[in-house]
Amino acid sequence: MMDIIAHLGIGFQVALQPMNIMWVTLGGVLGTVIGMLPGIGPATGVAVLLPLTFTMGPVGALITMAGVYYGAMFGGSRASILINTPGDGAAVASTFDGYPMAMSGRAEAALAISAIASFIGGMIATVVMVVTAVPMAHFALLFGPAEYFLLMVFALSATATLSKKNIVKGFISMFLGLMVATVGLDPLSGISRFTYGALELQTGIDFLIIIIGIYALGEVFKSFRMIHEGTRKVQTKFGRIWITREDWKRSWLPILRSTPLGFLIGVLPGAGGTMAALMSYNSEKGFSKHPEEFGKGAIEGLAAPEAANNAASVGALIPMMTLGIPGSGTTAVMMGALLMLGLQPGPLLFDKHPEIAWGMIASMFVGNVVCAIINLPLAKVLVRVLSVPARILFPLVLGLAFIGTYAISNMTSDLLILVAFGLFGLFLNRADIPTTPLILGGIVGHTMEQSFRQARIISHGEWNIFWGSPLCIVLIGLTVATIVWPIIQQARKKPLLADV
Amino acid sequence: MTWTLISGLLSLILGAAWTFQAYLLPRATIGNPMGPILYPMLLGCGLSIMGIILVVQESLRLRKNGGEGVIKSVKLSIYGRNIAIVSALCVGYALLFERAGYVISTFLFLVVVLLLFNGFKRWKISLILAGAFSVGVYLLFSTVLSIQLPTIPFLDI
Repeated sequence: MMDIIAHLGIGFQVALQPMNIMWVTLGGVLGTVIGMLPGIGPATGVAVLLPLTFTMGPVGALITMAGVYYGAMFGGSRASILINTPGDGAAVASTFDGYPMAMSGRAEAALAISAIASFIGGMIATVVMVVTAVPMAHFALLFGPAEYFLLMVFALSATATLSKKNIVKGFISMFLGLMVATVGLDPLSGISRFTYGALELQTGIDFLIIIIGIYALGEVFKSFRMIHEGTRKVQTKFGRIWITREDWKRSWLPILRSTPLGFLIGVLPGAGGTMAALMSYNSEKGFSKHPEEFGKGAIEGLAAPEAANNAASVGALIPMMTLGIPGSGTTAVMMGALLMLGLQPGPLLFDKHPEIAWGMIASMFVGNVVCAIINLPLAKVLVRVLSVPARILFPLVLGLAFIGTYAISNMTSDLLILVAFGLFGLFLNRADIPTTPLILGGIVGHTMEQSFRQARIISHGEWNIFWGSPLCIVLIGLTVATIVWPIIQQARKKPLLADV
Repeated sequence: MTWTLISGLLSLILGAAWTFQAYLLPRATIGNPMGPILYPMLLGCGLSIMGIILVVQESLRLRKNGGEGVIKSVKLSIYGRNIAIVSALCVGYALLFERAGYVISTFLFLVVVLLLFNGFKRWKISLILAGAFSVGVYLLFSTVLSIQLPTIPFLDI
């Protein structure tokens, strides 16, 4: 207990520096705006903001990117409530009851409860993170290379099977990501692989550029269909944005129930805010004495998914920070940025750089307060962003993608690679192949191969090291379960998560 | 032919080519000679196997459901045409980026893309936005972030 307080003390010393308060505010505001805009989610947001983080140093970068991540969870619901279009995937469930509330003249209460639920969900989840982060990191230190390799196999296969209905396509995406990561000079033997004489490829393909290509360019290409939709009418005149005592009475328990659920789903690889929000919505409907009101403007039907998706975004940071294995698209982008800044997230982060790890965690308390302020008193101003049409927004996102890429590498050849991967992202979308496993595979691929080979070196080439310890067997079991379970579900004609 | 079938076939071919290319890599002189080769070979095999499963799965589905999801024509929709135009503009932008400098190339790129989507009637807003974005980003990067972007040739600003 004393350690935790001491750690948090270090964290707050960092988080409360004026510069870092500024970064967390910037992250929160940008995240809220990015979350609001349909077609641009937190992963795209973090990807186009990468160049901004280069000059901040690791702490500032991490604080800002985390702010964008959970800020987007706050902002996403604004669009769901006011224009019935979720700002990002995790806000889908907020349209179910948020929009009917706004339609029946209760937009103020809807905006207020979603911000309050997000705040409570985020705060509780951060407290849980404070308590669990170090034990989790220490547990991870027990892992040898074989266990670590299997852990990554588990995380990747969970991502591949949970993200879309067709798990084969998930695995194709994962293999592509892992393959890209093998291009370049092999650090263990000095052999250059798959470079075909190109000097630029010796150091490997810069994965951040692929990320910007797929997330920024690809998403914009994908959204071209909606570019000619006219300007949306957005309600801009509001009364006081707050809730009644009755609203609170109905919402507090759903918020408290959805937070742990969202957090746990967030920690799991592959399952993110979207799944957390939908599952908590469904479970609240089950708990409710008036399930018939759900979908017609029941306030608890909005409060529950909002608390859950914020809790999930905090939970998703845990595997990235403590194990060095991101479990979602956004955390993968964040990890890519950290690697570029020379910081390796993982079990040693908490021992070697406590000020960075704890600084970020402490900043999340500050950030949640900032986001609550942005989304309650300032909501009236910010929702005007929603009236910016896609045909103005998308060209600017393209511009940001190019400048981001150039800032990373200073090479115009990478701009062409950017366009190529934008089109590749579009192809994946057409073929209904999920992109998250590819991004994850690309980010952890390098470490994964090293662990695989270290394990084989330790065992003198024997394969039994991969099932030699109880931990290995547990991890293999988990991996098999993530693959077999969806197949059983599919066979029973009941998709695990239809419409996710 | 469906998109799924195409991606299955492509995965199969790419996986096989990758495995073969990995096998041709020079053997390592330190440690296990197959050290740097085995892992990429496993990946290539994995991709091929997934490709085969996908092709089989999709063929069975097609036989059962008839021609659902089959790509009928290769003609571009307006949506496809827009993407093609914008991608071509992106390539042009990339090529101009260092030659014309950041401000000029970005201004041109944005003006064309904005006009394309907003129509010529709204040319004023397109010009203003493109100008503000290109100059604004340039100033932000060169002063606040101290990242040097390609300057305008001759003027060197």
